[in-house]
This record gives sequence, C-alpha cells and structure tokens, in this order.
Amino acid sequence: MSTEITPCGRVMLVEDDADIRAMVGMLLELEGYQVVSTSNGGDALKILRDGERPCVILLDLMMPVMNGWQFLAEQAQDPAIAPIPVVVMSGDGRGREKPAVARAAGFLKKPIDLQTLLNTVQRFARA
Amino acid sequence: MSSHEEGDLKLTEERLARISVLQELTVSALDLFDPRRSMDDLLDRLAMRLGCRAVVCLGPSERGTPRLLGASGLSRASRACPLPAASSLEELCLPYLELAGEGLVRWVFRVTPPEGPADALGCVLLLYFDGEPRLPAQYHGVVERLADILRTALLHRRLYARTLESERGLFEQKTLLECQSEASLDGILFVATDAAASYNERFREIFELPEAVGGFGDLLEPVADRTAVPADMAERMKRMVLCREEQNRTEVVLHDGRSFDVACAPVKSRDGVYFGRSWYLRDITERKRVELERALLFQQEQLARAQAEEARQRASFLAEASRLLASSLDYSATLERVAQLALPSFADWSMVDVVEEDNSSHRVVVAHFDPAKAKLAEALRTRFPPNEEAPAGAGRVLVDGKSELFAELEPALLRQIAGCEEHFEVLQALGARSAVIVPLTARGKRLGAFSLVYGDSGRRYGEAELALAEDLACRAALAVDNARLYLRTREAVQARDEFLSIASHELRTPVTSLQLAAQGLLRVAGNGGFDAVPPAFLRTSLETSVRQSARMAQLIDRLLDVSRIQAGKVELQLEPVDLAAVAREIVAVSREEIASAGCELTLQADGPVVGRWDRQRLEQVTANLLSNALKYGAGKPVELRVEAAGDLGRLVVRDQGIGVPADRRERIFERFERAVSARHYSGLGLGLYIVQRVLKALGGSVKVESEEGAGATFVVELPLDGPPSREARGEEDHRGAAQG
Repeated sequence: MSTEITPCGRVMLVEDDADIRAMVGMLLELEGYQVVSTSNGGDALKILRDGERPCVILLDLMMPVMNGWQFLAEQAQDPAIAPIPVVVMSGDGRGREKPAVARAAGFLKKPIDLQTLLNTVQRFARA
Repeated sequence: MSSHEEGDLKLTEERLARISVLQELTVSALDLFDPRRSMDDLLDRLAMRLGCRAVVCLGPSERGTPRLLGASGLSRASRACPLPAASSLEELCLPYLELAGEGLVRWVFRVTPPEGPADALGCVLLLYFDGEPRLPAQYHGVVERLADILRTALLHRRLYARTLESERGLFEQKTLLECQSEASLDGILFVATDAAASYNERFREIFELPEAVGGFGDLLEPVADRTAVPADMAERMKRMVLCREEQNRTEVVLHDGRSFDVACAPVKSRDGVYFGRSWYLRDITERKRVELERALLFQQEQLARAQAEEARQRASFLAEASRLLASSLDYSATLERVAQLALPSFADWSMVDVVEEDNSSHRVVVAHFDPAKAKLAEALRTRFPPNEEAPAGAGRVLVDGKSELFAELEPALLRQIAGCEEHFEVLQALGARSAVIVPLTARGKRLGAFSLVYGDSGRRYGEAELALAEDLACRAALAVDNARLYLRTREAVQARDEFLSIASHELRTPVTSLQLAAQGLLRVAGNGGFDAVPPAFLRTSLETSVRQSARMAQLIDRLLDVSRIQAGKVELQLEPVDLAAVAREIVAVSREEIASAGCELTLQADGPVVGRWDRQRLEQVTANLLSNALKYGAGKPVELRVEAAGDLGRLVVRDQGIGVPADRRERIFERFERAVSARHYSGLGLGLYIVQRVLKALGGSVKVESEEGAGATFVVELPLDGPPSREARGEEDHRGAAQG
C-alpha cells in the first residue's frame, strides 16, 4: 500500500488531546515534516476528502465525534484514501489485536517514545 | 210252659249267652284298637268263657319269625321261651310246658283272611281244651267271628300304633325345628297361605314385635317402620307375599343403622304343594362394617400409593427443574427456562414477571405449550405489563410477595386481574381457567412473579399444586438470582476492565505529553545544547509539563477520592454555603472548558440559596455535572439553574446532548459507568458516582430526566438544614460499610 504513496514530508496527526497534538506536531516540525493536525476522525476524513494526501496518518483511538476505529472503517471504504498508511497511537496495547487496528501500518503505544515515533514516521515520510 | 217252649226258651237263653259272650269278647277285642292295651285281657276272657286251658295268639315278628302276641294260661317263663322257626304258624310246635299234656284239643283260627295282603297279619288264634270242649258247636262260629273282629282290631291297632308313632315323630320334628329356629341367629318369618304369620325369637327381636301377632297384615307396619325406607319395605313384602314362585335377596337397612341380608323364598313340599312364604334375615352389619373398613383401608392404601407416586413425580420434576435451571447462568436464558419448566405437565402456559433493581417491573417471558398461541403470548408479554394496581394477579404478587391460588378463575375475577377489556380478551384467548402465581424470592429480595395457568385442558390447581409451584419458584428464584448476580458480576468485571482501560488511557495521555516534552527537549538540546532550543518550543514543553503534571495529580486525587467515598469516608466541613455563589464560581473557572466545548452557557442563579453544606464538595458536584454536560452536550446550549424549593436547595443542569437511555438512567451513578461507550468519551466514569455519593452524604439526592438524543437534565436537591445528625449519619455509614 505504502508503495503507491510518493514519499513526502506530510504527516497527518489525529489526536483529541491538545497537549499531545501540540507536542507531537512541534517535534515533527522540528524534524522537518509538515504536520496537519486535527482533533477527531471526522475532521480528518473531511480534510483527506478535500484532497490532503499525507504520507502517513498518526491516529489516536479514543476520540469524541468520530473515534479511531470508525475512522479506520471509513478510510477502508474510500478507495481514494484507503492506501494512506495509518499508525495507531493508543495507550491500550490490547487494542492492537482488533481487526480494524490490525490492518494499520504501525502501532505506537502511549506513552510514546520520541525515538520510536521518529523512526516510525521515517518509514513512511521523507523530511 | 211246654217242653217245646222250654226247649225254645233254653235255645234262646243259650243264644243270648252266646251273644253275651260274643259281645263281651267283641268289646274286649275292640279295646285292642289301642296299641297300649295288652291282648292278654281278651285272651283271658276268651279262655274263661269257653273253658280253655290256654289260648295263644301268634304272629310274625318284624324279622318274619313267629312271635307270641298274647296268651292266656301261660306262665311268665313259658311266655319268655323263644319260638322255633316254622313255615306255617299252624304247624308250629309250641315249646310251652302248659301245652305238653296228653288229650289236649286244639281249635285253630286264622286271624288273617287268605285273601288279605301279604304283609297283613299272618296271625293264628289257638285255643287249647282239656279234652273235647263241652260247648255248643255254635261257639266255634263265635270264635271265628271273634277272629274276624280280632283281625280288624289288630289292623286298627297297627294303624293306630303307626299314627301314634307318626304323631310322636311329627312332634319330635316340630320340636327340633322350633329349637333350631329359635336357636338360629337369622330372623325367620313364615306367612302361610291364609296370611297367618309366625316368626322366631330373633325376628321378633329385630323388629321389636310382640310375642305373637295375628296375621301378615298386623305385622307389615311394625316391620316396615323399623326400616330406613318403610314404604319400600312394605311395598316389597306385600308384593312378595302374593307371589308363589319368586325368590329374591335384598339388603335392608334398619333405621338404627343395622343392615340385613333378606332372602325371601316360597315354602313348598317336595311334591310342590305351596304352604306359604318365608323371609330369612341375616344381620350383616358387622360384615358390612368389615367390608367398609377394608374398602377404606384399601382406599387409604391406594391414596398413600398415589401420594407416594405423586411425591416421587414431584421430586423427579423438581430435580429435573433444578438440573435444567443449573445448566446455565445466562439471565434471559434462565428466565426462559423458568417459564418452560412447567409446560405442559404442570401448566398450559406460564409467564415470568421480573422486578428490576430499580423496582420497575416488566413481563419478560410468556410461554404457551401450544405453538399456535405464540403470537397471543407475545402480545401479552409486550402489551400488558404486570398490573400492580389490580386487586389480584401477578402485579399484586410482585407488590405483596405472597402466593395466590385461583382454583377457578371466574370471568369476573379475570377481568379484575386484567384491568382492561383488551387484556382480558387476550387472557381469555390464551385460556385461563385456573392459576397459581408465586413470588420469586431469593435472599429476602423480591425478584419477580411466576404464573402458572391452566386453560381448557380441564385441570385445576389446588393446595398441593400451590406447594409444588412454591417449591419450583424457590429453585427458579435461586437460579434467577444467580443468573442476575452472574450478569451483574460480569458487568462489574467488564466495567472494571473498561475502567482500567480508561484509567490507563487517561493516565497515559498526560504521561505521553510529559515524556514527549522531556525527550523532545533532550533531543533538541542534544543537537546543539540547550541554547539552541527554540524558545517557543522550550516554553510549550515546560507549560505542557506543568499542566500535565497537575492533570495527573488531579486524576490520582479523584481515584483516591473515589476509594475514600467507597469506604464511606466522606469528610464534610459543614458551614453556611450559597449554592448560587458556588454555581457562579464554577462557571467562572470553567470558561475555557465551556469555550472549547463550543457550548453556550446560561446561568440562572439570582437569589442566594444558603444551606448548611460543605463548600468544596458542592463545588465538586457542580463542576462534575457541568463538565458532564459539556462533554456529552458539546456544541449545544447548556443551562445551569439554582433555586430554592421550600426547605430544599435545587441545582438543575440541563444539556441538549445525546441523552441517557432509559435502562442506564440509574446505573450512570454507579462507579465506572457512563451512558455511552468509552470509545467516544474520555474520562474515568467516576464523576456522577462521586456526585451521587457526596449528595447522599449531604442528605440530598440527584436524579436524571432524559430523552435519548434530546439531552439530559440532572436535578440535585439538598436539604437547607444540611445532612441528618451525625449519629444518624454514622449509623447509615456503618450500615453502608457493612453492605459494601
């Protein structure tokens, strides 16, 4: 899937916690990525359908309005955005086994280790 | 007188003498008619009149041998001499000494005429003279005549003897019969053809009759009157006495309770001559009593056998029920099983009504043995909940917790139970003729009601069935209770797991920010020293760290608070507090949160509402409710109102969010509970639990009114006087702790 995406520096961050969103966004930007942040799955879908094409999506699971699982399901239904790799960020390690999450390209367990975050993003995006 | 005349006279005298002798002897012979008189008298007279030495009369004995019938002129010894056998009595050589002399002349007279019957007296009359008798020749003729008379006399004598014998025999027989009759235990009545009645002592005793009554007519009434149905008895006896052939046997009961077997039969001689009719009464009271006793015993034994069989069936039914009930812990499956348990052996249809933990009741299962009635059963289940207002029926049992038995469900009663015509029609269509309704109770808690109903199968419930239903209900209640506890436990485990997941998420979120801030700073500083760290990044990182540390501390506080509250240790600092001021303050400090939720907040808290409360706890309650409203009603208006209502202070928080489903309205106040899935809404799910516990400690309450999808309104009410006295509260806390 990821092979179909031209490596670029754009990363989408979907996270409802403002502080995490700010920290991750700032750290990735310091590494040279362009970060598109949003606080729930619904907004993220809207941005994607408006034409945004990040190399990777960092996705929180527990969010209001549209949660991570719903986002994954919607994304899989939409051929235009389905190929974009998604890295799930969750505090609950057991969430990994769930089918929707298992299809994700990567998994980051909260609390997120910065180096792991950077390595993971690097697999999909070029700063 | 001439010689001729003299001769004539002499002749005449002689004839007269002869006639006189004949007359005398004839009279004497006629005496022999009486068999008790001896012949010797006649023979003595004969011997004397004719001048005989001896006179002997011989005849055959019973064995046919010659026998001395009578004699004159014989000694006693001679008379005792046995006679030799002889073919003819005339030829017989007599062994008597008196007749042994020479010159004896014998006259022989056959007493039996030759033409007489063979068994007629073969008698001879023998006259012995000492020499030729000096008698006129005519005397021979006189003796011949006498022999004829003797023959007749002997014939009559024999007949008379036979008559006497017969009479004695008859008398003996009669006496014997009378003895037997009197000795008989049976009552005997004989009615002759002339209606003369005779009866034995026993019969007299039975009917308390006088010693003798005249005829059948006099007897009829006293006899009939002693029986239980006099008219019947009289009619039957009257009919029987008239018929000559019929025999019958009946049972007659006297009014003193004794029973008699009465046989009635005609009395006839062997050759069929009808004499009359007899009744034979045998007392069968004792026999009847024994028979009755035996029948009763038999009945009792049958009953005991039936009871034992019933007990066995009940035991096996209950054992099977227990086995079935124990086979699953699934709540709804268990309820379904309970309803099916009694079908079809013990009910045509059954239903289970359940009291939920919030005391609401509803009909969960209606099962009918006839699949064709499934639709009706479903209608009963969904459309007619248990009617707690009804004077009888499942609703009543749910309220009172007492069993009800309706051996016969009259339509009027059924209508009362139904409460409305439509419900009544459904019940009638299902068939409801007899019912038992028993409460489902376990651990002193009313869990529901179990109704068993017989329709048109003709069966009826009684006390025994009620006992069985109660037994069954005990087991069912236990199963229901277990299933419910299991369900609650599973829900609790699930809630705990969810809480752990949420708590870890909630705790990991600040840790994530903190860790990223610290690692980010190190990484940026590592490249070119801390001087190289961009000031904006440095500031954001530090601010994030401070904020998230505080958030973590707050989370930890809240968890500790919950555990303290759970242990019943809500510390209250009671002082006069203005609820309106508290509300204003909380709104003021939550400005940022309100803004980020995108809610328009209306606060209506005009006058002061002052009560004896704990300020910090009231702030906590208000903040939790507001934050709850902002979370679930994000983007929509939120209304906060404080008012006084009598001796109560009231806080109302209304949002227009997703609302609370009816089935969760009570439970959202429990630990780790929330109205919707945790996947959408972060938070520990402890906010409302803390609100509810704090308000309870303050003597107040919180309830929620909501329509799903149209928001929720939380209403808090607090007594202005504050919580009840410390002692009362202490007791309550103690009880709460004991229950926990």
